[in-house]
Amino acid sequence: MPATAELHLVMDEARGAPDRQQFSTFYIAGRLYGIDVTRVQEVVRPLNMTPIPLAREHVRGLINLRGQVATAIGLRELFGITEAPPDTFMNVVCKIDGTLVSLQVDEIGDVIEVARSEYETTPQTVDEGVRRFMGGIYKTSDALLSVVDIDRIYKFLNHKL
Amino acid sequence: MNESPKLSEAALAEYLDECREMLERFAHGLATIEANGAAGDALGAIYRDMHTIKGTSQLFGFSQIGQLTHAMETCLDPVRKGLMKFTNELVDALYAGVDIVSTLLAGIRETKREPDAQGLIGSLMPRLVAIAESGLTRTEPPAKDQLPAPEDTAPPAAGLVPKGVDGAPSSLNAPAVPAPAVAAASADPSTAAFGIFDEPEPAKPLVPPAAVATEVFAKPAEPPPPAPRASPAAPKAAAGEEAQQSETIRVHVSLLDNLMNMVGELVLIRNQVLQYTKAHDEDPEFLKMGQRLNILTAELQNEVMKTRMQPIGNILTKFTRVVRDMGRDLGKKIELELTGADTELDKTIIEAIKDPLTHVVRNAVDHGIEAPADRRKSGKSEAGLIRIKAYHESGQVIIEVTDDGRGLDRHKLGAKAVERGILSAEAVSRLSDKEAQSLIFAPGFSTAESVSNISGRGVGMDVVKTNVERIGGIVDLSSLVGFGTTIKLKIPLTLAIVPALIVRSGKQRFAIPQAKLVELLRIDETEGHAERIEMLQGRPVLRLRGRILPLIGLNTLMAGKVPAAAAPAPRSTKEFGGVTTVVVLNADNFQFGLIVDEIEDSADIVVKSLSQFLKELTIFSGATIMGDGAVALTLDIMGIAETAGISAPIADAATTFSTAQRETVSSHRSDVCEFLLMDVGAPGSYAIPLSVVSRLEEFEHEKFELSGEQRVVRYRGSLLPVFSLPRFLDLPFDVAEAQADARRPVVVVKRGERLYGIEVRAIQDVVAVSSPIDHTIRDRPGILGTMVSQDRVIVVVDIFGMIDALRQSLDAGTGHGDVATTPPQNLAARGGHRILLVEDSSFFRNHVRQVLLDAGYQADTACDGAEGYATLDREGGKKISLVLSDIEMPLVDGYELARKIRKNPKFVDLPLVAITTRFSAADIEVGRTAGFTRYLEKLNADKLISELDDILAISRPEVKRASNG
Repeated sequence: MPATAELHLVMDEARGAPDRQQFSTFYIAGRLYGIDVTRVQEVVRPLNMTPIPLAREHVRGLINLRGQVATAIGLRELFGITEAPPDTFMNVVCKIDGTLVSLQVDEIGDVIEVARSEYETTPQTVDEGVRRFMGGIYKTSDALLSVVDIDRIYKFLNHKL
Repeated sequence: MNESPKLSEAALAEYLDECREMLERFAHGLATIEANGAAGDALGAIYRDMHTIKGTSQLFGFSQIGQLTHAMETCLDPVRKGLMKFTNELVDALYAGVDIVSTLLAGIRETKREPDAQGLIGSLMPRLVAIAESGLTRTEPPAKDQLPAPEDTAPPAAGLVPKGVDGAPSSLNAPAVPAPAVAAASADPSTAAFGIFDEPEPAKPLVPPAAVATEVFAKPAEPPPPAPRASPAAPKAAAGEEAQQSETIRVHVSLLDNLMNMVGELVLIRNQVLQYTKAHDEDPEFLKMGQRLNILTAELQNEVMKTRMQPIGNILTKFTRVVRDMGRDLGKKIELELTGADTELDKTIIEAIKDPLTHVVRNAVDHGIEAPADRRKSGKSEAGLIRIKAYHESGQVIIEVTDDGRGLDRHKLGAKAVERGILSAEAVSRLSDKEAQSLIFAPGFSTAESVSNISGRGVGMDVVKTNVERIGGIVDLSSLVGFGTTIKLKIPLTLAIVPALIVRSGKQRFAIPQAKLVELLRIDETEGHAERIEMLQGRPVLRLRGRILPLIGLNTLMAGKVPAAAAPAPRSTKEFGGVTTVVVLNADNFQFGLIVDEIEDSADIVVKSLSQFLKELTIFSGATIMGDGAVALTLDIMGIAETAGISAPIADAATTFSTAQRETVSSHRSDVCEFLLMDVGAPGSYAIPLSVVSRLEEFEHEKFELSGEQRVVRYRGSLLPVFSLPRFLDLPFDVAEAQADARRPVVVVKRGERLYGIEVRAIQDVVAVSSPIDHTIRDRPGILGTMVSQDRVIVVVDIFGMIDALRQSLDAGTGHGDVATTPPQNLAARGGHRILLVEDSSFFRNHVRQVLLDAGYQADTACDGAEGYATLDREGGKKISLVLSDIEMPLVDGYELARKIRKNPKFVDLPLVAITTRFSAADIEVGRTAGFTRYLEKLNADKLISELDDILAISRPEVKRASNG
């Protein structure tokens, strides 16, 4: 916990600073999302997965990440996006509170650097199913980047959101 | 102390290592401070080391080291506090002290006792005193005549000055405790007194310096040599130590944990490599390398495991003290016996069982062992005995805590359970002894009539159980009233690597910890095999050695279809056709079977815990990475049982399958008998003892055919005559009319060599009933009596009587045969005979006993062959005219009993009659060979009595002769 709390502080400072921030981006159903690059451990190609019977829908299974067991979370299921899922998913691996979580996304994008000035809070019109996991948006020159707040996801997984 | 010598030795070795290490650190610290000045906490560090050496030495009763280090510590204290300067004199004196201490330690290592060095200490001591005193006089005015205050920090200053070198005999008594018993008193630093200068002075005249010691210590004993390091002392001793010093090193546990984790990973990679080499065996060189890697990894794993192993004695020895102190407080005399203290266990596990084990021991002292007066009254020696035994058994460590105390009284436990509202009185009465004793594990239970402040502080045995189970262990209990209690903890050796069974369900593999595994069954239901999985209320069950084993399908479970309480059960028994693999598992104190698709392998797995948010899935305990790199989930057996709703909450333990009882002697004495409840179309519940039921079947309406007037079904290559219970009982209902087109449940009963079908409207349930059968209400033939279970009246059907009656009509084509035809005998003649009835089933035991008593015989009963023989032997055959025995019984069966009886010359002619449902020609032959005189069927009361009359009339004279001889 203390480590995370510290991280939050660092992040908050980063947000507050007029500096630029980097996001590791990915796509779900063609839409662009991003996670603070400092929170992403690695991005991994599709891996064999062991489903967990009786688990909630968004818990896709367990994957072997070089000897560590990571829990795969389907962001599609989490966001309630069901149409046209791809055949394979890419893994955005994050370590949250000591837990290895692999967020499964359709496609991986670039690491994008954004300016603080491009930030805006999530518009109220965004569907609540997605909005509750969002930490605002960035208006880049060619697209709108939705910031995914992995701490909110983790809280949701632990029934705390 | 009652420590085993081996153990004290281990502790002593640890003490010596620790002291040496601290002395070295102390010397090093001293040198650093001298060279660079006291930076940071350097002074504090060396002060603490000296303090620790003092404490542990006093604990071991090494009073000289204690004295010396105490003086050194006292000298350091004002320096540490900045009250005094760090002088050369001080350093020299301290070095000299270090040398003396290490020499003493070397002596202890060799001879196990402290060599005499009073002379040396005596010569060093004044220097220390002088230093300390000078420090004080320089800095602050001494508070004259203040006697040692209780505070730890103040007294050195206070106590020092007034006494001075002359020593004041007044405070001699406190620190001069030379015996090992010093431990308790002086372990506490605050009580260890600070009158240091009293000690050496009186010691000097008492003990003249030993010759050797004087020689060795001659130099340091001289007035301060200016050498910065006073190491010339005892160079020989130091050299001798050199070899031993390298024997052990201390490393931090976290380092070992890391090593363990990494070895775990390595094992996984090894597995993957091996799998790969198997698949690519064309390269012999690679194969060879794989093999080498394999062997090396296994060895490495083994060795690393060992680094974390500790003898359990480390915690067991603590109990010596616990038991002694508690015994003293409670006024009980208790001896503690420790065996297997060198049994090794993983460090984390030792930590984990420490508290539960302590509680068990405290419990034994507090609740188990009686007060001396009570013990005398019951003919025991006044001193109670608690035995703690640790040993390895099949990959587990077993720790047994046995006391020879009062044992667990089921009546007291039951009453307490009722009082605490844990169980109803009725439920308590239905418990077996074992189950009643297990009540102590129920939350909120305390058996002592008054809760003492020693145990029973709201932390009950339930916590013990929970804690032990948390680390994958099992708690088992057996107790005999008046003789004591044994609590057995079965603990896995290590938590990190678990032997597991890999099973498959569908496409997925799961790991089951071997510790929970009881057996593997292969149920072959194909043609020609008798094994069958049966459906009971839509749930599959298996008959395993006469008990019903509930089954859970892993597939069904994983599909989330269990619990199926509300869900319909469309499966007919047919669906299980073919070969089914069942893994019998032990959950808590009951068992169940898990139906799996396949058993793949057994493997050592490294269990990794699941993410916090997956903990809600109680059927999984973790995950592991398999040899092929895939992740497999490990099954949580308790969780599965709970999910499937077959856990045995203590409240209805009596009605639950519980084979764990088989382990104990008292198990089969359970007075609970299981009955099959049937809906026969008539109001009320009808039941037959489950033990006479062979199978439960369902037949299509069209399958019923008529052979003459008898309804039959083609079944297993022959015709199964089917009877209607209501019709036989002459009840005004009929199954056939009630449901013309449905599938009919039929209870198949084996009688002799033949099978009979009893058609019922529905099979309702299996109930366990402990109340006896009331034989008074038998309004019609075919009814044995009635009994009460949970406010429900159950009519027990005399199924064999009914079959006999109907068979006669079958065979002879006549109506109901005259079953009871034997004319009544002279009751008085029967009254002269005592019959020993040996029968494990309480139902039959009570029933047959009643039949015997009704006929005028005297009857003794026994629950199994062993008890039967014991009774017979005790009675000396004088009173017993005949033994009536069941064949299938736990522990000692009928055959064995017969052989045993026949072996004893006293009983050679004693009539032995088998009553059984096992009635094939082969069985009878075995019985006759074993020594049975005659074979009778169970439940045929009239036949039984007439046969007995017959036998006794013939063999009476022989019996008399035999018993007199």
